[in-house]
Amino acid sequence: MFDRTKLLNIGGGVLPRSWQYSSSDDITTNGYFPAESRIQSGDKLTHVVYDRDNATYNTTSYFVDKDDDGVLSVSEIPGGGSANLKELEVDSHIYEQIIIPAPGWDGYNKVTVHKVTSAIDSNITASNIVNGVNILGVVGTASASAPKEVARYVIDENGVATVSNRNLTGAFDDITSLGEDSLKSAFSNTNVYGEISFNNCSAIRNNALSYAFSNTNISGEVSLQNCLGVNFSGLYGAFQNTNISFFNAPKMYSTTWGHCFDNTFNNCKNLRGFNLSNMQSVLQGSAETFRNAFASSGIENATFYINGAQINTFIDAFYNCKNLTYANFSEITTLSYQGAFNGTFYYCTNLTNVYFNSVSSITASDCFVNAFKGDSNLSYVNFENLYSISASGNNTFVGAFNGCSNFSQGNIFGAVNRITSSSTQQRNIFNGTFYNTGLTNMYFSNLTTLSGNAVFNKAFQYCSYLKDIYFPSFYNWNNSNLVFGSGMLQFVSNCTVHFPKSTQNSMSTWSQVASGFGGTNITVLWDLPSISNNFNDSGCYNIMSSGTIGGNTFAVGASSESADAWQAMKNSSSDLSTGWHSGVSEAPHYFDLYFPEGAQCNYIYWDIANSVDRTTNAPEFINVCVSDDGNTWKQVGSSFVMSRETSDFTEYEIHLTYPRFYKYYRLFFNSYQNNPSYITTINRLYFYLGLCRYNEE
Amino acid sequence: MYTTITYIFEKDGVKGMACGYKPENVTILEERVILHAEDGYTLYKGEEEVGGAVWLVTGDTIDNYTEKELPPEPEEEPEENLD
Repeated sequence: MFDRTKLLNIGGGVLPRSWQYSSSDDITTNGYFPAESRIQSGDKLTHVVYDRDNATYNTTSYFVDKDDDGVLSVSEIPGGGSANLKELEVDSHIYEQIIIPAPGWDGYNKVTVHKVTSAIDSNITASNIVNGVNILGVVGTASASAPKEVARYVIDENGVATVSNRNLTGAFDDITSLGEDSLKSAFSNTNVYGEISFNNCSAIRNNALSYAFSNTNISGEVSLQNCLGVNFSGLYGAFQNTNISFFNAPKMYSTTWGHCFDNTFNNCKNLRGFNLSNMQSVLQGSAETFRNAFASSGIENATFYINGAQINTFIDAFYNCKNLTYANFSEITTLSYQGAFNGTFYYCTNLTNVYFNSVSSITASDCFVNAFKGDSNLSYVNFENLYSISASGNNTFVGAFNGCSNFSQGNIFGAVNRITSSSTQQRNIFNGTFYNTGLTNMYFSNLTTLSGNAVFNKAFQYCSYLKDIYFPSFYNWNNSNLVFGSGMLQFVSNCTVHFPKSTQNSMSTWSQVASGFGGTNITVLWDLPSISNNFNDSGCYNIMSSGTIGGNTFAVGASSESADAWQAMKNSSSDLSTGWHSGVSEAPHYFDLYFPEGAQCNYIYWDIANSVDRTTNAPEFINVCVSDDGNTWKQVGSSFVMSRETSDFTEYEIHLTYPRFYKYYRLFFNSYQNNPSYITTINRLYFYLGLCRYNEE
Repeated sequence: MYTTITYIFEKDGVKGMACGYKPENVTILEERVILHAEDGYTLYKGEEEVGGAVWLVTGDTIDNYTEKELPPEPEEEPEENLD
């Protein structure tokens, strides 16, 4: 036996083979022990002896202790030489485990921990794992999409709404109907987001969505295209101040939808367009429809295809839409609702083109008040078919183009034939209409009839570039000194106003005219071709005495003529045999008239003498075509309007609905029964401008 | 109230009026005195409104006319440009 006491008295050396020294820092020095100076407390001696009988190793361990005085001592570690150890296997669990050896055992010489399996948690199943993902050997089969979050909102006993979940995408997919006030302001001013759709909703009742999503973070497209009806104020302010980008309108079969779109998209900066093509024809609501609908939004193109739906008003509808460049209202034919387009495009500073090309009459007052005010890039507004302005009140175009500094479309109202107003107020049809615009000239080419008071009151105030205004058709007015109003050219200098020669005697007595319409250094000229005011003057029948081409007379042509065409224009009441005969040739036969300065015809008369065989000579129908160059023709009227028989003639008339100035008129006549063996005869042809016959002085 | 002169003239067969200035190289046929109301006012002759301007024909005088203020304009939209 190794005398361990020798350990205490020597300065280190070789240990017997069965002894092992390990320092307190677990550095083992097999076969050696350190010098005394290096021995530390906690160092350990281990003596291992093989028990041949039991085939085991018996280990005895000794702690080496060194006190503060450096005195060394050795103490046996209890059980260190005779520990009873066993092996252990442990299963993994989701909870903590503390394992203590059973009685009679001192510890474990081997511990095996079994690996984790899916059995560790019963929730680890295929249906709870995303398809294709393997967790502890279980492959998932669940859908990849996230579970649908359904917004939940609660209204407490005090009526305060709170929203517990924010994503509204798909939240309303199962809704089939929205009752009155059902979602009124429901999500307004909350932190909800997502895309809104009511694709299965058949009806939206009164105020159902009024301000429902206003001032929220909803975005993307709003889909209502399957909704069949929206009632009064149904969408009032619904999406105001949100991030939506596009709107699909509902089908709108419902009968009352006043205020339906008021403020609906107000301040939607990301809104770029809308689709109203689903909106079917509905009965006209009695109230406003699109007030402020798109104000301050990002709308770029306002095209209304509304399938005949009757929409009342667009008051302030596109106010302050800075991205708006184009607007198309081609489907509207009549403007009859007061205030229809008041302020509609106010401050749309990038708007350039607007189309009202199907509007033929305006009967509403206050129709375009400030409609385009401040639109500094506006250059073109199409009213090419606007024939009549007969506002029951007044102020139709008050301030309409105020501040449109680049607007110079002088023929914007060139198609207007009559302006009538019963109002006696001072502010009227064109009050301040073109205030401070870029107009250089202005043509009222077809205006024959003018009544009411102060129609042009301050119409061209501050139009500093305006040099000429033309009234070539000016004939039928209410002969009042007040018809123009005061200050038509106020703050305008060096402008010339042109009238037909035939109006000079009466108009020159008008104070409004004589004062220069309130302008500075204004010239009034009666230099335009005269308009006869002798409607029934038989002396005006005779337009031509012989065929003359060009110049300031009619140039009359015809195909296959056997009698000169000009014969039809003679005053030949006593000569029933004279006139124009087309000659035998294949129909149609046609008859041209040429007006070098242009002429506006709204009424054509012709007759055939009763002595003429109408079976073979009377035209079966007439088409009227017009042209500005004699090459490109447009049909403007057809068929007989009326016929009557007198003792000597059978007379025919045709009225042209929207007369304008054209240089060429072609009258097509088809022979009776379209028989090429027949000819066309016109004994007398009268051509009327406005309410007058054209009479060259 | 204030007055201007309007000249009735003829040139090359065309008749015209020069309002507030005297035209040149034309044949002046007549001179007319025009009485104007101030901006925002209208003229009355007795109780009858005659408008913003009137031709003072022979025998008529300014003393026959008075000025009355026109009805106020409606309130305008705000002038600020909302961006």
